[in-house]
Amino acid sequence: MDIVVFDNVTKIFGKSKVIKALDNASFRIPSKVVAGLLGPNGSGKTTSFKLIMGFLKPNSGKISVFGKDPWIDEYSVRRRIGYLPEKPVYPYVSVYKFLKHIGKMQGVDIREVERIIRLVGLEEYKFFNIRGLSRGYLQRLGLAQALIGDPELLLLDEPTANLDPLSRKQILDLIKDLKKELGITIIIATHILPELQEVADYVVYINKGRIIEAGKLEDLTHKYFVHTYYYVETSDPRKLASRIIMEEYVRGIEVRDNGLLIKINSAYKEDLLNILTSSELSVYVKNIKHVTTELGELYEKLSRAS
Amino acid sequence: MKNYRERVKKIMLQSEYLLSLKATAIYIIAVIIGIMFSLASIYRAISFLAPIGFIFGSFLVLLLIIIAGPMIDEINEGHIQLYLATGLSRLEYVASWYIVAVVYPVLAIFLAIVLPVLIIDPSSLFTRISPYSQRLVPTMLTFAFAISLQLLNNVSLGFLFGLVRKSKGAAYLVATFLAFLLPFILSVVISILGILTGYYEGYHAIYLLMLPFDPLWSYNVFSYGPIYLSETTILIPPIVTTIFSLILILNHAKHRLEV
Repeated sequence: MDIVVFDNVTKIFGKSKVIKALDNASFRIPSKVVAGLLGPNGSGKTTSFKLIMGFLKPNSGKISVFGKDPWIDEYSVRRRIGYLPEKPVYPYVSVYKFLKHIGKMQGVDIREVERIIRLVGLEEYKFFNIRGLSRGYLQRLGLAQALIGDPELLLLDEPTANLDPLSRKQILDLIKDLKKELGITIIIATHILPELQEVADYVVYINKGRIIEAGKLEDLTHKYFVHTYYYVETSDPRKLASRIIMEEYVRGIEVRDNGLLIKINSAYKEDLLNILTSSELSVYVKNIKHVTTELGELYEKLSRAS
Repeated sequence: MKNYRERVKKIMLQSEYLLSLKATAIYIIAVIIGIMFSLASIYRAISFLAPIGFIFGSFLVLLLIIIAGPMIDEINEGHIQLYLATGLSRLEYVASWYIVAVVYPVLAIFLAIVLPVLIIDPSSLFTRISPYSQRLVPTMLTFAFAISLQLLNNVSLGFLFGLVRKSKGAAYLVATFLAFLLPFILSVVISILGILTGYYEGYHAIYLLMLPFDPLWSYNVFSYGPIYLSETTILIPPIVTTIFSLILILNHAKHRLEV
């Protein structure tokens, strides 16, 4: 089932000087995926989020979120979404007072608010004034307010922008945990790709308000022949590695837990699968899984295509 | 019905939260007015408050519209998105602000005038507040209603323009215009017409334009001269325009407010 559907959506800002933030944009986001909304600055990512949230009204076209129009059914749509804005502005209150209020508005028990405060690692700063928090902790607060009320869809607008490497890693780990533990649909708007690469399995590429590509990361990987990673679970990682490395299309191998992380150009996907399922190696192979793709490379190719 | 109750509950919760952030100004105003009217009542000096009330009303309009100003900042800076993301609708958000910036302060001012007088000398409520000219000034209770309605109407209009234009400047401009400039402009127009034609009374009707915006001033103008209006009649226009402004505010919030 598709959670978000954009059908020829156009959004125009300004009267004298017209800016087309979205230009006949059409895409779908299926449920239970982590989707990356990619594109350069000013491409229409934040506008798309605002339209999904029902903050803006499209000039033309149709938007459906959970099967409803977010501009009209704003209440029933938004109560199912957790939203982290790109540049959230918070009031001059303590972390606890702010989150308690958000919890009250969502009809959530105070114990649930406390649990989320612990989940995002804010318990030490609970009674600090929000304005005194560092960028990293502000993002944690943003995530906390987005998670209150058990959202089915999480919209994260540049969640790691302007963060130092440590805070960036912590936020990313948090998103990974959310994906693993909650199994909810997450849409992340960003242009910081290496990080997204670790979590995303669906991509929408947008440029100058136009949707250039949208689809499963694996499908786009094959379409644009970018480097991709497969994880092969095996009974003998060393033996398998020594055999696979001889194939000239293999760009890298890493032994990880009880398996191998193999990097190849997606154009050679069939070759790799053939050799892994051959009578010589199939006895060692337990499972083959597509892990991720070089998003940077895909991004570059999509940018060129647009 | 359940949905309606839930909405009212959310509006009240948000108002309560906003009030906890912005209440100081409202409390200070209410306390000052309360003390003024208590002293006036104790020393039987209510009549002194009549002229002060006229000026005070105009300044209060500006003060209350300043309380509503942060809402425009919240909309322009994106603060509003955090609150809307909790499931609050645009209409509920604006209604919460209207309650905090308009309804609560006006109620506080009304009670700050009426309660001390009611406790100290209840009979004062129904006597005219100036012993010198019985026709020129209303009773204490009508005075309280008039000043409250003047605030309600003018601040609502400022609130409406501020919201539609997403500009604090627009809100302040409308409030200043209604509180200070309109009476001045009308007086100048009538005087010029009177000087040019030598017929002053004929232009008195132009002052009717002031009825919705300044009921206190209207008591002065329409309790004598060619047009006479009763105390109750003078209170009706601000009630009508306030309701009209409120409908426009809520309609704009529901159908047009983009954030």
